[in-house]
Amino acid sequence: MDNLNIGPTKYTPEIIFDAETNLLEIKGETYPENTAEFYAPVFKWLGAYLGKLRDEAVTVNLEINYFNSSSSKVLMDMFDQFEAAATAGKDIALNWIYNRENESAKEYGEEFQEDLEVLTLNLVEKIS
Amino acid sequence: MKKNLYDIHDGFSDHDLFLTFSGPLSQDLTVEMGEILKTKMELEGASLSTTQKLFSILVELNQNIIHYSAEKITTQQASGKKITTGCGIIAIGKTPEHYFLLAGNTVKKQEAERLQHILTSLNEMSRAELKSLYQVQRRKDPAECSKGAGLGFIEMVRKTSFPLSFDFSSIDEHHTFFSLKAII
Repeated sequence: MDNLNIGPTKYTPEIIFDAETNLLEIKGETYPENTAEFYAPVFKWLGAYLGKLRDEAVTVNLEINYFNSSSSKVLMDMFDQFEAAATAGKDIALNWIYNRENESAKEYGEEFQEDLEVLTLNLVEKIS
Repeated sequence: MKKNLYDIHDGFSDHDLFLTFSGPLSQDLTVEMGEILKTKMELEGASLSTTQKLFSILVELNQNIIHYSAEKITTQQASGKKITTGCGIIAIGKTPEHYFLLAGNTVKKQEAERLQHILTSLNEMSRAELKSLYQVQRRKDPAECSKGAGLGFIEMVRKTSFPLSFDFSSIDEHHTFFSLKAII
């Protein structure tokens, strides 16, 4: 399948989902005014990808400095999809990458972590 | 006219405001206001954490007006696509002790009652209660969520050290002007 490649803007992140290397990355800030519209193609791609996935190891790297409240909901929905896949036996590693100086980004990662049941959200400190 | 505008300008200074906007809001304006705010706070030596809190509340307030103000305008872009956005007022100020944000927009009467109820109950919650409500609301589907305590308001209350202050002024039989103040 084709890779998903969305360039960053001031209020939407860079999204590179690579179906060959099984590396899914979201990087930047996310606060679009219409979150559902922006993320619709992302969820569409993800659904198709997870549907075809066999026993390959998948790495998900999220490096999100800021997200608004509606993006927070989208991220939760995305984690739910990864959880469902992990429950079905898929090999998924989830990394929440944050900058050391950005205390709130770490706290947000911890809050998502509390909401996950099957998967562990690895908190990874990035030294800038 | 000149006198009137000067009076308004004077009023802004009297209220310690340094950035104000009144009219139809947009995503691009939200981004620009955010950039100005970040630059100004950096020059003033504000901490990253305070700047992030203010920026985050600014985004939620702007997007609330864009989506929920009862006063809306629709414009047609060059592509033919029509865009509807909400009108309102956003103001940011600073006293010697704190930064603060003000937002105001028109709402329908019944919406005013709902807002009053939500904000009153959020202000009474502890940090732990707010956190758990945020996590519960985040898992609800959007239709269900917009009828409950919106995530945006919970986010704002969690970011401030003071209760949100709010006020409603009756405009006419069907409309009320809703004002909100967040102090960081």
